[in-house]
This record gives sequence, structure tokens and C-alpha cells, in this order.
Amino acid sequence: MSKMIVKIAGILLVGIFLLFFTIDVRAEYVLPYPSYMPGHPLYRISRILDNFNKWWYWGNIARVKYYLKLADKYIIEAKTLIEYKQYLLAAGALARSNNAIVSLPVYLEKAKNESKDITTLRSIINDAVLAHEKILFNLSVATPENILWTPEKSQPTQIHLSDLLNQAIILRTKIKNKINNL
Amino acid sequence: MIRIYILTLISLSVFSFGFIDRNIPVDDNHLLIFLRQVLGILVYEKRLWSTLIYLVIVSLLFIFYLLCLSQSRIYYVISRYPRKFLILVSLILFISFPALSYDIFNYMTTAKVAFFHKENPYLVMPIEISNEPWLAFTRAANKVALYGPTWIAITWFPFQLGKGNLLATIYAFKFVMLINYFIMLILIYRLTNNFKNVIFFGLNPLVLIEVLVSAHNDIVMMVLAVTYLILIGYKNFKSKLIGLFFFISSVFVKGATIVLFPFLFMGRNLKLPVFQISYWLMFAIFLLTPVREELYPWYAVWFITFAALTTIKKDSMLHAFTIAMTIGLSLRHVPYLYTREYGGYGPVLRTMFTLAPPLFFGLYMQARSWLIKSTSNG
Repeated sequence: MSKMIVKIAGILLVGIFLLFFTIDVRAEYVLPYPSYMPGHPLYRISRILDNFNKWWYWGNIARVKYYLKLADKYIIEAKTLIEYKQYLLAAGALARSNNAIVSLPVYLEKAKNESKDITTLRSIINDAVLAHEKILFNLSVATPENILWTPEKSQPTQIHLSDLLNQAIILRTKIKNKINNL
Repeated sequence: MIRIYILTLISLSVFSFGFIDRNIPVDDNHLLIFLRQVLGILVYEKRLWSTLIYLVIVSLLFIFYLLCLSQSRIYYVISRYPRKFLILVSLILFISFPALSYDIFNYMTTAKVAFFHKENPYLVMPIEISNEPWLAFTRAANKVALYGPTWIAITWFPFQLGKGNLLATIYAFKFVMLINYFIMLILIYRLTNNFKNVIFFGLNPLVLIEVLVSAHNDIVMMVLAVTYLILIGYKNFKSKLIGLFFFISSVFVKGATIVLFPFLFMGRNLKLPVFQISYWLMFAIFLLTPVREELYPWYAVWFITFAALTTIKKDSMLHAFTIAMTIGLSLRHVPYLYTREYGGYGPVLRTMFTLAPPLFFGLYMQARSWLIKSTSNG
């Protein structure tokens, strides 16, 4: 019995020892929790505040932070809406996330031209893009290709959700390449 | 005695150059290189000696200060040439290097983030501009701006005046504090019409060290707060409005003066002892500061200001208590000077050094009252 205990303890110790060599200690990029969603009384206010915040986030590094924050916020919004099968609203949120992410290399390049070291920011954006791609890939697998969205009081709309998700993935890959070439 | 005092101030000023951080580039200035080499050994390696030197300097400054306030001959000599004397004192300390605190470098680097890198300092930490050379000697580089927008706006002037030169920027920031120190002295004199009150503030060793040597921005906040209290007392609306502007500006330097907001509604029509109430309000907020960080010596400027604005009577408890507090707070630097670290026994020792003088003062007052009682009964 005691030999067994020693063996188990030994295996555990070796396991713990190996864990130190195998665990990547780098923190994974954390996307935010979903903010106010369409239909919530504060949703419109949060959208207005998002626009106002652009003026508060002055400076090129601050602008990178601003657009990254928006890109993250809206991709999570898109994901949540898709999960709740609100495809039309999700398409809008995804478009907003795409618009925000397009601005990242613009301001990053401006920061670089001001002789600011952009190594850390570049790495953060790369991690964020990876996190976005992971979400988009999971969604593209789980969602139908085409959806006919029929609202109660207006004309039905055809949403090519799969295309939109693929385009978003391609866009992010392009952004990643652009950023890494800066 | 005045000669000894001036010599002590010069010693303090020279001694401060030993505190030049080794990461501060002074390669183009031979005098600074020499001072750093010679005095740096004293400050960084002979720590017992540097601690003793600091203790001797602070003790001499307090002895002179107390002699001055006790209406001795020194007071009469100084009061014959008040302007010249205060200008001389402040100029000697203006030359000094900001020792005992790194806050001035934080002000400078934050100003650089805002006005040179053109980034919002409330969103971008200095450390995020990792190739910024001033990071080498900035301690709070991993924090966004710690002070309000009024202060950030004010720093535009010294930052521009420095023209990117490190040493010039340091002295430009010190110049802002010097100007505010003089404004405060003028305000105290105008409000009290008593030179003794001016001395109570202007020659307090803690004020001299924290405002003129270490260049803390608390003096700016207090100048704005006192101006607010003056203006709010006027009856016309325009003055009250400008007073409100000064109040908001003061709060947006460091926030502590927010406790003075009740005066916005009271004005001074009720004949309230405004400055006395302000003293206790600022003292209360001072006592609350350990909740956020710790009792920093320069926070004492908040209540010394109002002590200087109240009438100094013989045996004034408020003033004696303030002096005891400032002695204790000036001694807070001692454990760091000796150990060169903030942790370990530092916090306990700092608390002990801070509390000892006010406790002795309390015991002395208690013993004195017992003695008076027993004498009158007998």
C-alpha cells in the first residue's frame, strides 16, 4: 500500500515538474463580455458614446486602442446575436467590427511615423486578430450559409452569412499581414 | 543664527544633488557629474551618514522655524526685510535638485505624453511608448495620468519652457511651484495682515522641502482652493462664478479639495470660521489618504495652508499640533534614506516616525494641563 502511495506521489511530482515546462505562461487575449445588445434601452446610448469616445481617444496609440476596443466589442455583439439567431442585426455588428479593424493599421502606421515603438501594440493586435478569427471560424461552421430574414413589418432580406463570416476572416488575415509588415 | 540657517539651506540644496538618479543623463554637465559622483556615494552608499545629515538639516530648520515663531530676535530681524529674506530662502532651495520624491519626473513624463507624443495621458501610460528615454527615471510609468486636467493643462507651460531639455524642464516645473509658493505667501499676508502667518507657512521645513525642493503640485491645488474661498465670500455674482471656476480647477488638480464644496452654498455671509473649518476638512481628507496609498509628507501642505490662514495666538493648539505633525511627516523620509527601500520594515518605521512627534505633543499638553490644574487647586 505504502509503495503505491510513493508511486502515485512520484508520478504527481513528475507531472507537476513537467507542467512548468509545458504550460505557456503567456496570457491569452481576452475578448470583452457582451455589452448592451440591440433592444436594450441603453443600447442606443452606448452606440452614441462609442462615437463620442473617438474624440476622447486622441493620439495615435489611443486611437489604436479605441478601434481595437470597438472591433472587439462588435465582434462579440455579432457572435451573441448569431447565437440568438438575430442574423440581420449580427450582420450589422460584424460590419461595424470590420470597419473598426480596418482603421488599426492606419493609426499604427501613424504612431510608427511618430517614432513610437509599436512592437507591443503589434503583438496585441495580432493576438486580438487571432481571437477574432477563432470566433469567426467557429461561427462559420455552426451557421447556415444563406438565411432569408423575414421581419414582421418589412420585406424579407437574404443574408449570405457564411460569405460575410469568410470575408471577415480574410479581412483579418489581410490586416494581420499589413500590421506585421509595418 | 540667520547665517546658520542660510548655511543649512545651502547644505540642503547641495545635499539634494546626491539624489540625482543614476539613470538621469547628465553627461553634458560637468558640475552635475561631479556632484553626482561625490554626493551620490554619500547618498547611495554611506546611507547612515546621509540619514544623519538629513536629520541634522531638518532639525536645524525646525529649530530656526520655532525660534522665528516664538517672536524671538530672529523674527524681528527677518520682519525688517521680509521680501528679501523669503526670496533668498526660496532661491537657494529653487536651485536644489528634486530629492526624496520622483513625482516631478512623473509630472514631466505625463506632460511629454500629452504635449510631445500627443497622446491622451488618461488612456496611454508612459510605458506604452517604450522607446521614450525619460522612462529610465520615471517611477509611475505604468500608470495613466494620476492628476486632473487642470494640472495637465498647467504643465503645458513648463514643458514648453523646457524645450525638450531634461534639466531645463526640471527647473521649469520647479519654477511653477516657486511662483505658486509666492502667490500663497501673498494670499496669506493679504488675508491675515500678519507676517507671522506668512512665516508659519513659508518657513515651515516641510513646506520648504516638499514644495521648493521636491516640487510637489499640492501647492498649486491649495493656491486655487484659497482663491476660491476668497472669491466665494464676495457678494457679487461674477466673483462667485469665478470662485466656482477656481474651485473646479483646484479639484481637478488632485481632488482633495472637493471637501471644500460646502462653502459654495454657504459663502462667507454666516461669519463662519471658514479657514478653521477648511483646516479640519483638509485634515480629515489627509487622514483618509492611507485608504488609497499612504500618508505622504507633502499632503501636509493641504492643512498647513489653512493653519497659516487662522490667527496665531499664544498657546494655539491648532498651530502647535500642525507643527508637531509636520515634524513627524518630515521624518517619514528617514527610514527610506537609511534602507533605500519602501517595503520591509519601512511602512512600520514610517508610521512610528510620523506618529512620535504628535504623540509627544499630546502627552506634553496633557501633562501641562494636569500641572496647571494641580497648581490652581493647591
